[in-house]
Amino acid sequence: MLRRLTLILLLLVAPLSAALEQGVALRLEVAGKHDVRRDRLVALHVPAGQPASPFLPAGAFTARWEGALVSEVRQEVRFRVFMTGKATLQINGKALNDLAEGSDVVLNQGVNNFVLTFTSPTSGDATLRLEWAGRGFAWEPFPPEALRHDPALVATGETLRHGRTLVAQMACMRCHQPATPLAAGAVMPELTTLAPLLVNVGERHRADFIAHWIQNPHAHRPGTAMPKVFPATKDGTVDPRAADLAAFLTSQGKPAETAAPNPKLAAEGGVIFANQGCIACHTQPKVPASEAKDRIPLAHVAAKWHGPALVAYLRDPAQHHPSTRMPNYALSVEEAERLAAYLLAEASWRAPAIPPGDAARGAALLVSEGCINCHAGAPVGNHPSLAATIAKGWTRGCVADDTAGRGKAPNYEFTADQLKALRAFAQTDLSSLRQDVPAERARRAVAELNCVACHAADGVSSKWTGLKSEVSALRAAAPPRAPLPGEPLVDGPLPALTWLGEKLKVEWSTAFIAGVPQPKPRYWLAARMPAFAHHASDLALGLSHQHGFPATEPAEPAPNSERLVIGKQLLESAGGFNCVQCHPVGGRAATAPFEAPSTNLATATARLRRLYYDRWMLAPTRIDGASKMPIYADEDGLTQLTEIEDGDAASQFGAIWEYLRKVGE
Amino acid sequence: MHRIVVCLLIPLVAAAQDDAARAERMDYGPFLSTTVENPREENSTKGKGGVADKGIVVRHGKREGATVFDSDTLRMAAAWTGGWLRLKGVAFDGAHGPNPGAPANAQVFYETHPAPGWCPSGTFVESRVMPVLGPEYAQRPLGPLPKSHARYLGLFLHGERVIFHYSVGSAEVLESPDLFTIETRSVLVRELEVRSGTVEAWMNLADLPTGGKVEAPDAQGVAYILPGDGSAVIAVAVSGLPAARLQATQRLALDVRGLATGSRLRLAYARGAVADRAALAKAARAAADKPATDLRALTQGGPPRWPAQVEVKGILGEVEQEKALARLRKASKPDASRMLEVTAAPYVVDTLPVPDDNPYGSWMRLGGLDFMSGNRAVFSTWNGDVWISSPLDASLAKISWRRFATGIHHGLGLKVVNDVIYVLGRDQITRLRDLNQDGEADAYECFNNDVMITSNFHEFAFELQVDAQGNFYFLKGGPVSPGGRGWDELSPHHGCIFRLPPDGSRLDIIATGVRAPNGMSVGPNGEIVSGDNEGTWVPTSYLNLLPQPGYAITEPSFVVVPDLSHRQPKPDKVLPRPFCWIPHDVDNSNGGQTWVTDNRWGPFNGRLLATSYGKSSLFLVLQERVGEVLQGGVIKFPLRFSTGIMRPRFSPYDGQLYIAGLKGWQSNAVRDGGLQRVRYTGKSVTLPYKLSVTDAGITLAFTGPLDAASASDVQNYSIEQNNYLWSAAYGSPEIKVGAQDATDKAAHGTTPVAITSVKLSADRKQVFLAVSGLKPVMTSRLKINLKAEDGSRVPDEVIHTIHAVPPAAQPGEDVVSLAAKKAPKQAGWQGGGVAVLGLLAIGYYLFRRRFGCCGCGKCAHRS
Repeated sequence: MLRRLTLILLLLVAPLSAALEQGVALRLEVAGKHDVRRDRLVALHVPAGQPASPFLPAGAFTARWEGALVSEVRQEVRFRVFMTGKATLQINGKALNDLAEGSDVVLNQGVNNFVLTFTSPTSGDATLRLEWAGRGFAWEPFPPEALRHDPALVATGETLRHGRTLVAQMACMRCHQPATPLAAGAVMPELTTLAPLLVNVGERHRADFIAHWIQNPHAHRPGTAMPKVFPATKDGTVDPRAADLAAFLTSQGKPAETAAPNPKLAAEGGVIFANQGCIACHTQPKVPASEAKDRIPLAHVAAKWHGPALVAYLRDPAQHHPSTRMPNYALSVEEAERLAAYLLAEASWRAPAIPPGDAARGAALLVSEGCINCHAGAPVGNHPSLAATIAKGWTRGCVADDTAGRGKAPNYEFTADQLKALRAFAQTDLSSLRQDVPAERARRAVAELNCVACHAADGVSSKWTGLKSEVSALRAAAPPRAPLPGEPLVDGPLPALTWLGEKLKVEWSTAFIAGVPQPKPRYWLAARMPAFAHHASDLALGLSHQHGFPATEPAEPAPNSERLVIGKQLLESAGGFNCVQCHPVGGRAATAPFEAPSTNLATATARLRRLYYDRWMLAPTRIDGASKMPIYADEDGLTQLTEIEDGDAASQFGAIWEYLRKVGE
Repeated sequence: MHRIVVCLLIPLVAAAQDDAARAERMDYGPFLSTTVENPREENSTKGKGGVADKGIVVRHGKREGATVFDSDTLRMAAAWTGGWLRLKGVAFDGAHGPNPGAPANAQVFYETHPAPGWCPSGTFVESRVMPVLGPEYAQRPLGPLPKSHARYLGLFLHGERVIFHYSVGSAEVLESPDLFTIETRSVLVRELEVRSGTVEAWMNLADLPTGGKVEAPDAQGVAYILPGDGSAVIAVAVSGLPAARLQATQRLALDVRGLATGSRLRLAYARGAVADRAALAKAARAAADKPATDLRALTQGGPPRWPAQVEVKGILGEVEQEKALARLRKASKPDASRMLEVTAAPYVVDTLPVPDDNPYGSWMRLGGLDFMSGNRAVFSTWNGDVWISSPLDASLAKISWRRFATGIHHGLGLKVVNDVIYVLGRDQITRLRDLNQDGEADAYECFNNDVMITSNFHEFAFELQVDAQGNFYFLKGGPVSPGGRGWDELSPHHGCIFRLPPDGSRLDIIATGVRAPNGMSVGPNGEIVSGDNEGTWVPTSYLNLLPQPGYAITEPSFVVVPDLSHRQPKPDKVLPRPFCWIPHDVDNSNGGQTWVTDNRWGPFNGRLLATSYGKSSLFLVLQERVGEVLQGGVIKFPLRFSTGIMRPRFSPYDGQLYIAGLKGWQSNAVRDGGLQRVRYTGKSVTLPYKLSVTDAGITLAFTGPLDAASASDVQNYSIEQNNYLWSAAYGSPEIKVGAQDATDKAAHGTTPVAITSVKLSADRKQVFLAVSGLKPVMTSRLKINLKAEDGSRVPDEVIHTIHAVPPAAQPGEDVVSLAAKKAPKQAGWQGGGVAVLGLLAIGYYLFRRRFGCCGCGKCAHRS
């Protein structure tokens, strides 16, 4: 449904205003200071005492969302605002006067300009959610696919955010301390993370690769935070100091003597690479790094890794890099061996010879070149403070435009846009580094972790979806075999991220993203949700705030026994909606899940936010157009089970919820 | 915590048995027609046949035992005590795959394997032919014996007795199984009487048990069956013929040759421990020697079994309207347009409650519907019942239902012809007759059982329709594998549309390639429209019109529905062209169709209606003919139904639309079954009813005048289009128009189409949407946001298929079929015509083998 909506909307918007982009412009103001940013939704949640923007102090604030609501056809709809403060809403220049109960408006086909202003309460949490209802659909959040904004309105704030993120991700402050040291726990989370630990590197990596990596990391991984610490040599060979560092590092530990993965398993490993979504973030290892485009290259993997260590890494990527973006797929040894066999067999880059290195010199370089600042959290040493470097205009050293200006500083290969963002950010007082906003942290995490590589979001298909020919070729290369009965589907659609922040309870989604062992919700899919343990709580909380929901749900009263009986009956075939036909309930299997395998309802109330559950039950295809979940309620909110709760769908679905709460206990 | 878990698990487990409990609770009458699995619970039906594909299970006592008759092969397939039936299967506990079989603790008296129950030579060689169409097909004969060999004619009921009626050669035989207790021992008896002619054949009494043996009669004239596990012995005695006629070789058989009209036989089987052999022989002897029953006397009707009249009160649509209005008024801001839509509704849905609360626990899942004299409704149920109502009136204030028949093998189609009920089962079409006029069927005549079936759970037989010439039609699905995609073993009758002449003497395939076609219709002028359900090789639901007799058929065969489904080899790459594809979100599981045949139902006389089982929805079907190409679309009526509606019928009495349906597979239905009436209130109707596509744009005609402001505003219209991927997967996603590779997920989605202007006609009943560059596409969704002249809302979506885009100067022709129109000549079909000619392509060889093999005794290679 939403995909369809997006396509229609794109057509409608394109001729009207080519400059508009998806999302909405948000201007925040606190005590005379203001900030702008692009948001996905017209919603927010700011806990009491926390800032609404990292660039603003905490306290009462005003918010102004400005943009366009895009409609497929001209239609009569109703808008309302759930909020804790005060709000006004104008659509096409007309003020809507009853935002609590809902106000009628006719949306034109195409864009409808709107402005929503919000004044937060003077105390307590600030919350707002814009909802609409119309012919054939009940109250729901206004969908992100149908929001447009003028990017010029948010350019300043977006550039600042880009610069701020770079400062954190490139670990500037590992060498350049701000004037006042950052207090632990109250800063951008990225500032506290370390680069991969170098302990026992020799067990894992090969010296010649390390030397080449140090010499030119961007050649192997464009965009990496690892800078070139030594200038390029004239003949393209490795600087002897890089070889010294490699010699020292590989003296730390020896490769395991266990056998390397069997190359005969490579084709099966290729299937894992395709079916688990590795391919969505990484190019195939046969692809040179220079052709990787928007994926992370793996051409160097055989040159870098000792086989057994690669298997161990695939099974636990965070072992030597706790904040790694690489997630944990809970691979079995057999799976990891197959995957490693594929990666090692297919990797196309081999390291040219390097000069002999001196480990002792390498040890000294590790300190003098600042490696251990990022890789071990060592003190900053003699590097100038961040404020001092900024005061000089931030045009030399690491952020210089050219080699001459860079001098002996590391080369991060910043693009012009990055430099512009860094310099813009440098003009702020840097106080934004001392605080963060969960909703913005989640936005950064979604980008950093590349969630959209596997998941559709806001009407945009996942990257994985567009790799059909590569996926097919990898599957075809494996020895053919007959599917096993009940084997999970390799092509089943993954859930979209669009409504995740509204859908999942923060506690549950934190555990789920972190990979806390539990039954797989979509047990019918071959693809697994990998664990991003380091980022789980930030993502779960921030997405929730993006949708205008707090971390915790209000307590629910204990259901009465009559409602439990009703709820139980409604789940069943006899006198109910026959939910049990497709959904397992605890240990009870679904009675006939014919081409519609579904989640176990015993976990529903632990997973789902109640408001989302209500919305889903009323109109599942408004959320997922491809869902096979039947629609039981009509547009008047009635079901055909008229003898139960007078046919009131909300009450009936509520009874099911109450019963499921009991089951979930 | 532990205590809570335990407390919760108990009700959950109990709930899991809910459907099974309902199936167990039902009283199915003296017999139940069903496929029967092997008594040892080995699922032996896969590939070699189980106890009986077309079993008729006679219940002994109150469920103390059962005898299974196979109406394909005219044999008693098995008999047991220790319970009646283990009611497993899709129509019982909902399980996908299994069929009913003997209970776990059954004491099996005998079994026979799928092969003729009677044989002129005593060799019991197979006289049916193998469906040698390919490796995917069942490697065993299917369907009934050749009629010249033996033929099932039906059964009679008399009280609890079931009397089978069949022919063997030229003789007609009556046979009735029974259970006796002789000195505490259960004895199963088969009684036979020659109704006419002289039998010239052997009958099979029991096949050799696995690892066991059969023994010829001893001095007392008692033969024995000895199971291989040594657990029991079964003594078999016969009266009415000398014991020497019992033959024990590879089976226990009885030479019945020469038995003439009026002759009677009694066969008795007594089962017990090996040590009790002598006592068993005595019991069998005693049971066999009891006086034979006059079976012919039991074929005239007996005392009623189901006298109860279940009274219900109908609910008129206005009552529901008031409820909706009250709810709307309660809202803090009532939706005025919605309220107007409710109050101005030209159609309302009345509910005729079905007898859910009945003395027999009968499960009211309605699969067939029609009308009898005196304005009485009659319906069949999935679990085999047939019920008749008292005369209906407009008020529906009092409706009485009475059970008329039971035991049908999935009653998913029903038709009344000359006030006689024909009900479609999975095994046959049964003609029901009330011989003694006591309100219950006494004779279950086999009108035709030529259809070949396997044990697959999903190969339902759907609908039953009759054309103006009296020819019957029904559909049969493909054998969908449990889980949804792929097929079990195939038979030549899977996925076919059938036609039978008025006397039922023949079963002709008139179309193939349907998958799970839950409905079809025959129009006033013989138009045959069928639907289908998405799945393997069916990308989404569709409506298809079979070419008319005399109409150009481009294929040089009888296959007139392009093969969408399961056939081998797979159809070529040219997509078939049903006249309307229906997206999954509009209809995920089709129901039946009907043509409006009455002016009393508003302005749609001559138009086609379709139902969605899965979405419990009713659609008006728009059709236009461009040259020889038919194309069209659907519009959903803004009405709500409580069950998966699938059998729409216009009552000849009040001219209103009645629809029956059920909840049995995936659907948004909430009632197990239901019967509802869509009644025209006489208020003004403003619905699109005509669609025309040209290279200039789309013209939509409405039955009433539109609000000019909304209709003239181009912003009130939008179009998006998509195709589908034709594959072995279950259904298809929407595929963008023009996608290079439809298998690429990046191609999933729809393509918007720009509407440049709109023009409203002077009478405000027609809008023309200017759209340039329209091309053939499988689904085109036209969203509209219009109001009628009175301010009420018009349905907001027209979904249609475009096959042809004619020049604006030569638009297509609106399709309407009125009974007053002279029906096309049907001779080409009535007399055997195209269908039979086509069948001959594969039939000649088969027929020849049938006739050649029947009873000659020389076909050992096929035994």
